[in-house]
Amino acid sequence: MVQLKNLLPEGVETLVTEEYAFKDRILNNVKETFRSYGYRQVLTPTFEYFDMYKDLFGGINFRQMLKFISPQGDVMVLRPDATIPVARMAAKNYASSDKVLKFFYTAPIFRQLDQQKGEEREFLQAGIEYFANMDASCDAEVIAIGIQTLLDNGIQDFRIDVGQADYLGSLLEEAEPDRQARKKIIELIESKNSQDLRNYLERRCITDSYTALILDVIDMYGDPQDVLPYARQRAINSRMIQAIDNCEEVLTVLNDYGYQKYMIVDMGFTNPLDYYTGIIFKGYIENFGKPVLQGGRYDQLTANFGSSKPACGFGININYLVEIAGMRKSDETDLCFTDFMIVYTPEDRKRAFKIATDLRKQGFIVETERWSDIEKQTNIARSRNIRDIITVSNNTTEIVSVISNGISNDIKETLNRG
Amino acid sequence: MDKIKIAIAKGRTAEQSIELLAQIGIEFSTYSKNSRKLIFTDKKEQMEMILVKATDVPVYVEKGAADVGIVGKDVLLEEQADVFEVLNLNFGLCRMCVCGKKDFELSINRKLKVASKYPKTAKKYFDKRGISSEVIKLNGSVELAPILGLADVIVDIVESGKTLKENNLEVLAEISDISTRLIINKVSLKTKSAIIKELISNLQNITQKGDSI
Repeated sequence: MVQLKNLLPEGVETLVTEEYAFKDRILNNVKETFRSYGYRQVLTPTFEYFDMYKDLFGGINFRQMLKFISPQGDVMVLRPDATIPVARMAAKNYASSDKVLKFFYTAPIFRQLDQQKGEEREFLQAGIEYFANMDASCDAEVIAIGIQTLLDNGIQDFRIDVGQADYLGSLLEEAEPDRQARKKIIELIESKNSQDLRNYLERRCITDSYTALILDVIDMYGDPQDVLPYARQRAINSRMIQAIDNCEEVLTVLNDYGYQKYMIVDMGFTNPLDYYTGIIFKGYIENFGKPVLQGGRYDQLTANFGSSKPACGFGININYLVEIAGMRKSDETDLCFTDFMIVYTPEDRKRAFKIATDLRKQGFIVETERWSDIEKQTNIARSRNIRDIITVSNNTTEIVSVISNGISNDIKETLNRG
Repeated sequence: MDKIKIAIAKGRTAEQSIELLAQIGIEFSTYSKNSRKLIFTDKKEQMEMILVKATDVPVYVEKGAADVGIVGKDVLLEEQADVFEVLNLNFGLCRMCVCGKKDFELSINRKLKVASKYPKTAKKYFDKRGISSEVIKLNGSVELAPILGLADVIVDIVESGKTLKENNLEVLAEISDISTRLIINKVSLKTKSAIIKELISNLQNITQKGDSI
């Protein structure tokens, strides 16, 4: 029989010291970026009632949620999405407020797929949510923070792909009244499958002019300066024109951030989670096959929880970011280290602890260990990236350099005091 | 410029794809049928071809290990990969069908037993029609299943129908038309758009004119 106790379940991982430090540093960079724009950290529970997600229109595929049953018999889910619980929190905790709210979170997300295909079942996501601001400057700020997050992690070869859910949404509502059929059409557009789409539209008896336009939308992607004027020219109702206006406005604001070089558009974007109502965007990094960040405007979501607040936000997959940064990092061996190891004899223990405390107060990382075999201890210290050993014995204090990078006078003084 | 990577299903699809690519000036002169090599670079060094098992093509492309792929619609229906499926290359034409013995009648009292190389496609088809089914995954010679009583019907691709006929089976229902498709990684289309758009439009020109293989 297979000993399961020795195995990790599919889709989860352990992180050892250096890897953890590396991930943590990236996570801290991301948090710093979010904080620097005035976003404040929030946390929602790791598991919640299934009903919170169940009653939402569309939403996440139920089958992808990791579920368990509470002692009372309620179905619980491990956080499958970060935006929905944060939106619920904004709606409930700030129901009577009409102030803008700027939140950020970092949280593990859990999803199980039919075929896991190497995707993690538990991955770390960080993101921001900006509530109660309808203006295009809000969407632009959210996108700009997404860009800054990548830049702050040393990534420059990326593209932000912007679409507007209402352009296609309003076109389809006009062309195809049946909701199920619309879903199928969206699926085909989502995969840019023009031939099957043409056949399907024909079968549904959609008029030639609608068919031509819907097929046209599939190819409306690329440089905003080419795509948007054409999309405007092809618009046939006021909501489509407003969608283009909105895109242009957001992009104009982003120009003033100096970010136009990263921007591309795709008017064929559909709404994968069904809660986006306006701008939708994804971030791609060169030679990395999956979008690392995605977000958009969701003005209706909070209404499900009793108070209507327009909102815009994005989430970034920290695991992907770590993977990308890891592929590119130059040799970094200094993620985990210790400044001093103090080796003492029992008679000098009290003095050793005093020195250790003083050094820690000065900001150093200090370990202490009883004297046994100094040669062996030095070898181990070297392999553990400990920079200096301080021996405290027979009333004397000596420094044995291991991988030392210099001892300052301050330190010498501390040692002498001890 | 970066080379783009194309994943192609080994075997007949590869043969036909290589011919098709040659027509648009992408030649893999080092390729030969009997070679054991799995990676080839074209003459102009614009493209790298990776030969993989058909069912693996969507995985390579979805994950971005390859930018582009050429694979049958049968595999795409089964694997449900999140990719752009931009072009019908109009070769490898056949149909996905439910087949069984000539006198087969669906019983309302028993669960239907289905054998298939495409278990998900089969399940989805019967689920959609409200027919409870038990699907047995087989890897080849699926036609044997109804003959030996392993299953009531099979779901498989039918080209000429000759194999069916020789085994006294017939098509009971058609699920969908199948042909070879060009698929693109969702990020690659946007980050390497110039070179990939050119590939799509060149292939479109020769496959839609009706003079394809």
